[in-house]
Amino acid sequence: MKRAIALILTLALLLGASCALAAGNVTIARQGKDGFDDYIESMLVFGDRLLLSSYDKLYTWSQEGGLVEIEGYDELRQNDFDTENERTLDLGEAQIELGEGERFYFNGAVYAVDDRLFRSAQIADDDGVVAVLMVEMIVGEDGSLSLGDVYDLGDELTEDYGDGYAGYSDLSRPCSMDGIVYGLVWGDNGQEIAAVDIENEDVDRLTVDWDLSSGSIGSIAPFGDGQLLLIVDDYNGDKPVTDLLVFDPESEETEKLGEMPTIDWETPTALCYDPERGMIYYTLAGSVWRMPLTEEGLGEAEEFADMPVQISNAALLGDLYVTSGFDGVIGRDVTVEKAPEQRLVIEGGSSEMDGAYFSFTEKHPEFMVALRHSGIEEDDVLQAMMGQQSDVDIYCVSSSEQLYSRLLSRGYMAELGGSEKLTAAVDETYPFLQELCFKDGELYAVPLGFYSSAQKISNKLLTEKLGYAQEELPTSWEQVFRVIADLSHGKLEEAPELQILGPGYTRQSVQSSVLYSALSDYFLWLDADEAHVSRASEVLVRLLDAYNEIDWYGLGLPEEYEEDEMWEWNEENILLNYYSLYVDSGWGGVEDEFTPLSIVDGEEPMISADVRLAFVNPFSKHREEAIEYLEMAMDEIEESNLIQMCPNRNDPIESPYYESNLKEIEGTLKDLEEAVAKAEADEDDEALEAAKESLSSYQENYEEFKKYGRWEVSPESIARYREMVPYLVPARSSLWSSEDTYSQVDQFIDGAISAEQLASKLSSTLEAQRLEGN
Amino acid sequence: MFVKKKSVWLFLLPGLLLLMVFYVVPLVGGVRYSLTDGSYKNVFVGMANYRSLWKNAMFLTGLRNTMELSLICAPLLWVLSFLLASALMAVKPYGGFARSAVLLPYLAPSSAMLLAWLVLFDFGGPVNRLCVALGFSRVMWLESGALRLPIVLMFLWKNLGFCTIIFLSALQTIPHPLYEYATLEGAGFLRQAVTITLPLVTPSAFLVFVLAWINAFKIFKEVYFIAGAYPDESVYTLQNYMNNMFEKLNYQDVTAAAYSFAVIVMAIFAVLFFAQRRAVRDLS
Repeated sequence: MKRAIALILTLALLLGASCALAAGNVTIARQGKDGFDDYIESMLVFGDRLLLSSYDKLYTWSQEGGLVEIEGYDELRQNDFDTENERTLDLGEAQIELGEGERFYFNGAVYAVDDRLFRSAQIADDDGVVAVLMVEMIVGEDGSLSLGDVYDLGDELTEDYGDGYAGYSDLSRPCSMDGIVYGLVWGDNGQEIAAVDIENEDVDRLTVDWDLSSGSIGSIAPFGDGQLLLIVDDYNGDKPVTDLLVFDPESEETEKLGEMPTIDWETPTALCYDPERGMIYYTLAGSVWRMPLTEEGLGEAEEFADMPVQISNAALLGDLYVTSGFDGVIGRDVTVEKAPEQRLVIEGGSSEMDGAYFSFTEKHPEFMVALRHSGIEEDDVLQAMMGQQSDVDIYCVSSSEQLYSRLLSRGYMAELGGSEKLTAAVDETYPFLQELCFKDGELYAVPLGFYSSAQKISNKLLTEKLGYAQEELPTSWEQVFRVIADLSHGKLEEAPELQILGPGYTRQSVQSSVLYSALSDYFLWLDADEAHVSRASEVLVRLLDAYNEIDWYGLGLPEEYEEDEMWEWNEENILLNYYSLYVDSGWGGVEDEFTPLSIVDGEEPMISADVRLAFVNPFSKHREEAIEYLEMAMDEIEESNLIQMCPNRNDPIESPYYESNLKEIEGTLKDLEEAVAKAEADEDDEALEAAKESLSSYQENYEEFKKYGRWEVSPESIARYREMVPYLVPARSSLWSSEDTYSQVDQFIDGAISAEQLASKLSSTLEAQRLEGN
Repeated sequence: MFVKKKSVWLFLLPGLLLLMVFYVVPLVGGVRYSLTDGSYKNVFVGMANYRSLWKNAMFLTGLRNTMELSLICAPLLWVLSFLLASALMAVKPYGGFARSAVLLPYLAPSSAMLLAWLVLFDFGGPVNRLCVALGFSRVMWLESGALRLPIVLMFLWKNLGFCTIIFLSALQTIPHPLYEYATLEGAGFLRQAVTITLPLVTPSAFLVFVLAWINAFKIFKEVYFIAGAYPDESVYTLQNYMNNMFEKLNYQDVTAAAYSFAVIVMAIFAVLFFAQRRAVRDLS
C-alpha cells in the first residue's frame, strides 16, 4: 500500500513538473523593468554565451553569469570620430582613409563567424553609403572590448533609394554557417539572400528559386551540409500559406520540405534548427512550437511554451530557444515534455496585455499565455461567439470597429462587475469611456487607452499671413470651406507659400482628403446623438454647398504627384493638419494650440476618440483567471494614459533622464564655448562665426530644455488637455462605413451627383440601416 | 412484377444521407436559430423574433417590393412567353435557329448581361437619348425608383426564352388536326385558343407560371449589382434585407424572414395548385 502511494506521489510530482513552467525557461531581459532600458537590435550565440546588441550597448548572457554589459561598446559611435578634421581613422589594428566629405559610423548589428565577432559600419557621403565595412570586435577575458581587423565589403550591401542616393541594405534575420554570414536583403529582383564572406571581403547576392511575388521569406536558419532552411509566406489566398524550404547557396536551388501550420493570419517566424534533436523550433501566434524533421518530411507540430515578446531574432543556446524583440529577450527550454495544460489566449494584443504576462505567469506557473497580435476578423470572432467557442479568453478591440458594438449588444462579453478592482478602475475614468464599458448597469469591458485625432486649421497662419481677425477665425467645417474658397478666388496671392495639406498633394488628393476629413467629423456628429439624424440631410447639404464654393483649380495645386516636394515640408505654411490630443512634456507650447472644428456653426466641436477596450470571452474556460489577467493589465497602463482617461489624475510626470540629459547638454555647451575661444585665439573668422552660431542655437535649446525637458507630462499640458476633453466623443462603429458610401462620395467629388443627391442617398442609406437594426 | 426488397434501402441510403445533411439538418437548424435570441445565453424566445420581424419597417418594405415585382413580372412573363411561343410555332424558315436564339439570354452570364444593361440605361446612355429624342427629359434609371423598369425588363429578357421553350414544347404536342377540325367547324382563333389550346397546355402553363413567380421572387442580384446593399426604397427587396442581415451575422432575423417568406410562398402556390386543378377540370 505504502509503495503504491509513493509511486503515485512520484508520478504526480513528475507530471506536475513536466506540466508546470519548465525550470529552464528564463526571462533574460525585459524592456523597462529591473533597470534594463534598452531595445535589442540583434542577438547571436557566441561560444557558450549569448550576445545582445542595441544601438549603443553590447551585452553577454549565460545561465551562470546572467546579463552583463560589455564596457566600451557605447564609445564606438559616430560622434567619437572627428571626421571633420581627421581623414585617417584608427580602428584598432586597422586604419581607414576617408575621402572628402566622407563620414564613418558604426551600425547596431553584430555578426559572429566561427569564433570571431564583427560589427558592421558604413562610410557615407552626401550621396549615401559609399562602402560597408565589417570591423572585428575582440571581447577580452575581463569583458573589455577592443577592435581588430577591418574588412571592406564595398558597395555590395547598398541599395539605390532613387535619385542616385545609396542606402545601407541591412542583413535581416542573419545567421552564419561555414564561415559565411547569410541574411535577407532586397535587390532589383526582389528579396534575395546575401552571402557575406567577411574574411575574403566578398558578397554574393543569391536568388531563391521560388515564387515570391505574393509573399516573402520570413526567416532563415542554418540546416547543415551547407544548406539553409527558409520559411516562405504566401499571402495570396484567403489565408496565408507557409512553406518550409531547403536552400542550397551553391546551386541556388530550392526544395520544399513541407507546409507549416498557420493560425488565422499569423505565420511561423524566428526559425531555429536543432541538429542534435532533428527538430525545428519556431514561434507562432504567441507560442513556441517544435516540429521534427525526418527523412519523410515534416512531423507533427507541437506547442510547448508561450512567447510573450514580438520577435525580431532567434537563436538556440544549448537547450534554450531564445528570442529577442523590442520588448525583451526570452528563453524557452526545448527539453520540456509538454506545455502547461492550462492556457490563456489573448487576441488583439496591447502593451498592457503584454506587460501583464510576466506578473500573471509568475503567480500562475501552471498557465501558459499566448499573446496574439494578428488582426482580428470581425466575422471570425462573431462566428466563434455564436459557436460558443472558448479558444480565446480575452479580446482587445477598438471602439470604432463594428465588432465591439455587435458583441456588446448581443451580450457576448463576460460580466466583470464581480471584480472590485476593475469596477473601481473604470469608475475612475471619464463618463464617455464608462458608456462604452457598461450596459444596463453591468460592467463588460475595460478601457486600456485611446487615440484621439482631429483636423486643425492653423490660426497662426490665418492671422499673421492672411490678416484674419480673431473673431473671423473659423470654428466649423463650413467656415473652413469658406476660407479655402476665399483662397481659391484670389486671397492666396497674399500668402503664395501657403499649402492646404502640405507638399506632395495633388489637386485631386487635396479635394478628396479635405472632404473625407469633414465627412469623418460629420459621421462622428451623427453617431453621437440620435437627435442629429433628423437634421442629417440638411446639415450635410449646407456643408457640401460650402465645399462646392471652392475653386480647386484656383489653388495652384499640382495635377501630378511630385516626389521632390515631399522634402519641402514647412509646418508654418500648412493650413490644415492633423492634431492628436494627448498629454506630453509641453514642448512646442502655444504654437501647438488649436481650435477644434464643429460640423454645425455654433455647436460644440467633436474630437474622435478611438478607444482600445479589453473584455473576457463569456465562453472562456478560465473566466476567473482571465479577469485576474485583466486586473494585472490595468496595472500596466502607463501613467500618461491614466491621466488621459481619468479626470482626477493630475500629477505631472517628471522625466527620469532630465538630470543626465541636462548634464550632457551643459557639457556640449562647454565644448562649444571652448571652440569659440579657440577660434578667437586663432583669429579664424569663419570658424568663429560658425562656432558662435552653433553656440547660440544650442543655448536656445538649453533654455527650452530647462523649461520642458524636466517633464514627461507637464502641468501645462495636463491643463490644456483638460480643456479639450469635453469635446471627446468615442468613435463608434459608424453606420456609414460601407463601400457604397465611399462610391457615392467619390461621385460627388467628380461632379456626377449634386450635394442634394448625395445627402439624399446617404440619408436614405442611414435610415434603412437604422430601421434594419443591428 | 416488381418485388420489394430490403436492399432497396441500401441504394437509397447515400441520397437520403445527403438529403439529411444538406436539407433537413439546415432546415431544422434554421428553425432553431429563428426561435432563439442569438445572445451569449442563446435563450429560447419562441415567436418573439417573428413578431419583431413583422414590425420591422425594412422587412415589410422588402416583402412588399418583392410581391409587387413578382406580381408585375410573373404574369407579364407568362403572357409574353405564350405569345412568343405561338409566334415561333408559325415561323417556318429558320424556325430552329429562332428557337435556339430565344434561349441565349437565359444562358448568358448575368454579370455580362448586367454590364450591357448598365450601359443602356446609363444617364447618358441610349435609352435616355431616345427619351430626349421623343421629347421627354432624361431619367436617372439606375439611381432612383425608376430602377424598377430596367429590373423588370432585365427579368423578362433573361427568363423569356426558357418559359417560351416550355410553352413551345406544350404547343407542339397539340395534334394539328384538332385545329383543322375546329376551323372547318367555324371556330375562330380565340375560340380555338380557349377550347383547344388552353386546356391542353394548362399543366405546362401552370409550370411556367410557377417558375416565373419563383424567379421573380429571386430578383436580387441585379438590384444589388446596380444599386448596392441599400438601393432606393422602391427596389429594396426581401433578399436585400436578408442579405444585409446575413452580412451582420444576424442569423435570427435571416431565418425568421426566410421561413416567413417560405410560408407565404407555400400558401400562394397552394392556392395556385388548387386553382389549376379546378381550371383543368372545368376546361375539360
